[in-house]
Amino acid sequence: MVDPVVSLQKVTKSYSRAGTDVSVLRDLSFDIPAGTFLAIMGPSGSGKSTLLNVMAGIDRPTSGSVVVAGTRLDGLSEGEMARWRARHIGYVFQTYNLIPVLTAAENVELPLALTHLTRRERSDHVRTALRLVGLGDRMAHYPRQLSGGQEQRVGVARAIVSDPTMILADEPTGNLDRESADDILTLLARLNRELGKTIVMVTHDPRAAERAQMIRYLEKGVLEMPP
Amino acid sequence: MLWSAYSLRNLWARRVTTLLTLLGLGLVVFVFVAILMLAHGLERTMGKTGDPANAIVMSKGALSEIESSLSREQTGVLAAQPEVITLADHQAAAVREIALQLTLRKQEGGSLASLSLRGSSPDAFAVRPLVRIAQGRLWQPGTTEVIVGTQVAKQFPEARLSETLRFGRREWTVVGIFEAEGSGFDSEVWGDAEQMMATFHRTLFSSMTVRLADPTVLPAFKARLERDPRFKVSVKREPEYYEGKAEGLARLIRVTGLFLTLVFSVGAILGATMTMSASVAHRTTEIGTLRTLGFTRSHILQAFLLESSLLGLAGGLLGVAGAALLNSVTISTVNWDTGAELAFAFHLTPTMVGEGLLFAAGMGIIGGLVPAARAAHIEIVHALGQRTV
Repeated sequence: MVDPVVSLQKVTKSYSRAGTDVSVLRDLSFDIPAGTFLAIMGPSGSGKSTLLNVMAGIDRPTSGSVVVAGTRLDGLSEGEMARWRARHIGYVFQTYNLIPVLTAAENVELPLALTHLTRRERSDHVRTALRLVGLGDRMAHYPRQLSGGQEQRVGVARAIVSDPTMILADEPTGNLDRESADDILTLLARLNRELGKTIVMVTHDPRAAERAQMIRYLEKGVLEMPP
Repeated sequence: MLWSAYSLRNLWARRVTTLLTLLGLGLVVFVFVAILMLAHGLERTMGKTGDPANAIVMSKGALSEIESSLSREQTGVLAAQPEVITLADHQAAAVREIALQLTLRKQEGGSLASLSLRGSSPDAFAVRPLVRIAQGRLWQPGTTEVIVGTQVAKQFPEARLSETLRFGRREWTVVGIFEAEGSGFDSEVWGDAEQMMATFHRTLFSSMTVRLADPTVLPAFKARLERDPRFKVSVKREPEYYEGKAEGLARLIRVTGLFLTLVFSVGAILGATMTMSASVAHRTTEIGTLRTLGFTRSHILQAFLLESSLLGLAGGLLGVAGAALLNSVTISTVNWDTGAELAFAFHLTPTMVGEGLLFAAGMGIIGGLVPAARAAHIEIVHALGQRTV
């Protein structure tokens, strides 16, 4: 039995909107074994992104326990949580979220600015990550000089450059054409298969979800097995 | 390195607003440095007036040469003091002088201005070796000839070489122009002391300046003369006396100027705040992304403060560069301490450059403080625009 890298116990999340409590996640409990490529599907407003954010430590549950990479997140302070994220989480955004004034290499280098690596070591890591995503020849390009697919590949390189425990991807193909989306999904599958990375991907695209080893549906804040 | 590039490129990315903010900050720094240059130029000019080896002797209690009076007998005994150097002609290096004021018109049909008029003797050139005749010649003793400083010749058409000045119901011919290395003497008119005393019905000199064989003996020389009941005099090192004559005006320039700078700086700081606020608003998603990657609130605060301080520094460089253009520009104004016109030049020093840049960076940091704090406190999910579930 593989140890779970994520373990959620009775997790609830609710927001107050116009004086009314809106429940987004309801009493959610599940484990994700290390090395899994999991796709979470569900309609808009089902709480997929909230669940991903709770696992990433960028949002806190209203109640329940979240243990990721052996750390119970609800006990961490803001600063500890940031340091924990830097060490354990690689995040891929739907809209790539590259910093426009930095080159591809500098964008990928950002997470390494939080490490004690030397400039030379950082440079080596960046080159390796960009080659891995097939952009070794685009290091000096700014985001505006790249296509959407290339931007997302830089986003993936940024997510893996610090060798995090887990990669979380929020609709990583949502803004891409079919061909570029396939490239990204192939890349994620490769990272899972060849490097053993645990990947949790939120998507509403069934074709994207098919590339994962496991699919779960989130419906009104409750996680369900596939029909 | 990465952060510096990030901050600089973000400023460049919004170059129009950055430039406008730079202009505001630069203007304040320009005023700030120009005021320091002006006050320093004044002090420097007066500080250069006189020679450290010289002592000026005035009557006890007199704050300036105009208020002082020394008798012929007193000056004779003072010149014979052993500390005073002896010249090649066996005369003591001492000059007794009378200080007066003269009113001349600045330009054709322009305003009237007071000038320092010094009745002296040719010995003044032996006592003050830095003063030299630049054009023409020295006055002939016993005549109504005068020589004028370079700044006087430049600003007063009627005091040019070979022109005639009218004062004390007599006519005085300008026979020479002297140069005193940019000191306060450059703004004076010199002539024969005996002729001026006769013209103005004076029997007493104003002061006596002596050149000491050893400048280090001045404290002992001063103590001995000031203690001696025969003299009733006060003794000062010559440059210190003239420097003291600039204190009031220099203080006024600094206080007024720095107050104005402070008022202007409020506007410049608000400009920096608006620029940085717009920058934060424009980069909310970027902030959320950085926080997601593991950067702390403190990192975000530092990044925006670095950016605003760079904005300030760039404005500072602009202001200092503008102020540097004023370096050596000469202006003329009334020295409140003497009531006479004094020409002096703006003077920039490395310390002023440092102070200007520090002031600019400070304005940038203060202006960036609120936007940077706001950037640091945005919730990640809000910054990423994901609160909609």
